[in-house]
Amino acid sequence: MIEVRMAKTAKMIMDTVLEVKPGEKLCIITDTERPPTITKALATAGEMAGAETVIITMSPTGMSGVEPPAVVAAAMEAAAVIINQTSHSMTHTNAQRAATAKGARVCNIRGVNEDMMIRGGVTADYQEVKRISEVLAEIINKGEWVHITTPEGTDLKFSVKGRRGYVLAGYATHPGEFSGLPDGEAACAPLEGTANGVLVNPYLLEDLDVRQDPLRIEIANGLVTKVEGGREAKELNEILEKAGVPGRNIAEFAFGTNPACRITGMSREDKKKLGTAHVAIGDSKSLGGTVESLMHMDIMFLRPTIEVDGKTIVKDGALVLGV
Amino acid sequence: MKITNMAFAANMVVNQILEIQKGETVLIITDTDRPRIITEALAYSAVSAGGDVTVAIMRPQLVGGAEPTSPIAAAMAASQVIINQATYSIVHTDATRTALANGARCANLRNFTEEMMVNGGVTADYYQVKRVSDNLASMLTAADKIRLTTPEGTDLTVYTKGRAAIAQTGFATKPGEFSGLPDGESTLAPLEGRSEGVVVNPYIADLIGLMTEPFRMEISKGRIVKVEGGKQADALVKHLANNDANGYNAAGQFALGTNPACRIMPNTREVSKKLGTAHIAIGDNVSLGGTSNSSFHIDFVFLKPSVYLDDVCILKDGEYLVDLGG
Repeated sequence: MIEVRMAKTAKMIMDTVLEVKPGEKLCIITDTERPPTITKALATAGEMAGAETVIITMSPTGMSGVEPPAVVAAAMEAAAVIINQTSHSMTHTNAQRAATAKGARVCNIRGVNEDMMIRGGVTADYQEVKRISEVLAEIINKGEWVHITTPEGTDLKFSVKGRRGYVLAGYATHPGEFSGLPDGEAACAPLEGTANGVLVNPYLLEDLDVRQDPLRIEIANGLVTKVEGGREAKELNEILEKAGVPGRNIAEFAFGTNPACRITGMSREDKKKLGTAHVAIGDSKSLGGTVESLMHMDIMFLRPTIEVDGKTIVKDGALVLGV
Repeated sequence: MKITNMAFAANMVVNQILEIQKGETVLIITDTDRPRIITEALAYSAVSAGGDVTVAIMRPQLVGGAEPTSPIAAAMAASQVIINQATYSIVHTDATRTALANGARCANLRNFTEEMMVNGGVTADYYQVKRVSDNLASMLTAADKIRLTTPEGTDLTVYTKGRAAIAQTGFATKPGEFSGLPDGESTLAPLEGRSEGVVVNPYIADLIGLMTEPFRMEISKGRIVKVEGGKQADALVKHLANNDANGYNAAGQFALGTNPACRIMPNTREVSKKLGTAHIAIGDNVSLGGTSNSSFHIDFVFLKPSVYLDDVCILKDGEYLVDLGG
């Protein structure tokens, strides 16, 4: 009966996030590791909104950014509205890019569990999230050099000159727009080749979960050059081995902008929390970058200090800018 | 009903009917009116076979032959193997024709109930069904004259010289092949204009359903000349009068069921495939190699037939007198 408790969020996704209209073709994509209760809540809300709803279940792809099977990609391309309720993000895949190029609107709730459908980030005032995101995106739009430091020793500098700041505030009401829920990011693709520095003991790595062993990632001229540490370092090195040079690309920088998000150990929610920041390695095309890779991995910091062209925007995980 | 009970049928569909290979893209289509446990059993077997399995759930269609919604059609066009577990048949749709033209193999389990996944025709050994069907088809092809009698009074003789029989055995192992389940029959189209006799009280007929009233249909020179009985007979008379003249073609088809696992139940699909039964059809027989093109094809099924091939009895009151090589 937990579906009932998800009704409010499911309805919010249809009515507010996606503005689903009667007769629209809605594809809910899920996989065999996700709770069917969430799928049911979404499908019910989709039918209530009058959408012609199709549920597609696949095997988990294993990692964010990995292309879904051709069968799923074909269904996505024929849909007007897509909800990704799988285990992994498809934001940085050709399948999703082809669908949005044809005008599909996408809501990404990958990795969301039953609790996250009821509490936390999804309950935010998304108008407020949008306002905060727009202010920070504008700072990216106007800024050039971004400098991230953390108490753990991270110290990374890169340029965002000429790169657009994307507002990810949960809305995907226009053709080709995509949203992740819970949402709240001001994000961009740093200029390729400009990032230099080191990431030390980040809080979490996408697909590798909350970090436990020491980890040090060295970055030179926009690429990861060295990864040292324990379990996470070993796994990351294996992934980078497979992904090749494009996987080493510093692909994303983002501010979290959602005040309602909690720290849950689930990247989906944590990385949207206001005051946090993340960078990603791998594919950057969906954020206006030029690198295509089979992977896109977020690396997240809980208490960053972020300066843009010398001005402090976030200090130890708290927004200093009055928004 | 337990999912483990469906494992045999699911494995049969996956491994025998479709021969799903490791790495093939498999699409299982179902709708919100179908039992989810069947979908799970099929998906489980397909994944076990190494298939790259996707399940698509849609709204139930309103009628057989309606096009599925475009995301489903697109997914079908990108699939190597399609299992239709929806409420209605998607055989006669552009979506299926496109998928088959792209080389997909398709099994149709439309409107299957949990019970049908556990008992009956789908639990057959389809290799055995194929052996029996091939053997009976050879016998039918070799015969020039076939006589059908039943305890209820049916006595019909058809002439088949030069007409080859087809074994319909439910396999879809080659690109573009289509299988409807449950299957199993050996069948041919008798020569038009030659059949003589009478059909009395068949068990069931398409359009009419289970025969609950007296029914008598006279056939002369390959045409229906008289239908009498009750309301069921009247319904057929009306249907014949309202359609094309080729609808009077009888018998348009002669067929023997070859599936030992099929049961006697008021479902033409299942009972007409049961080993020991026979059926004839009126109307269209073009897809069987005949020349009668009509807008309909109506089967009449007999439960305990006797069949004589060139006057030699091979089937007596529903029991075979010859070795079927099964």
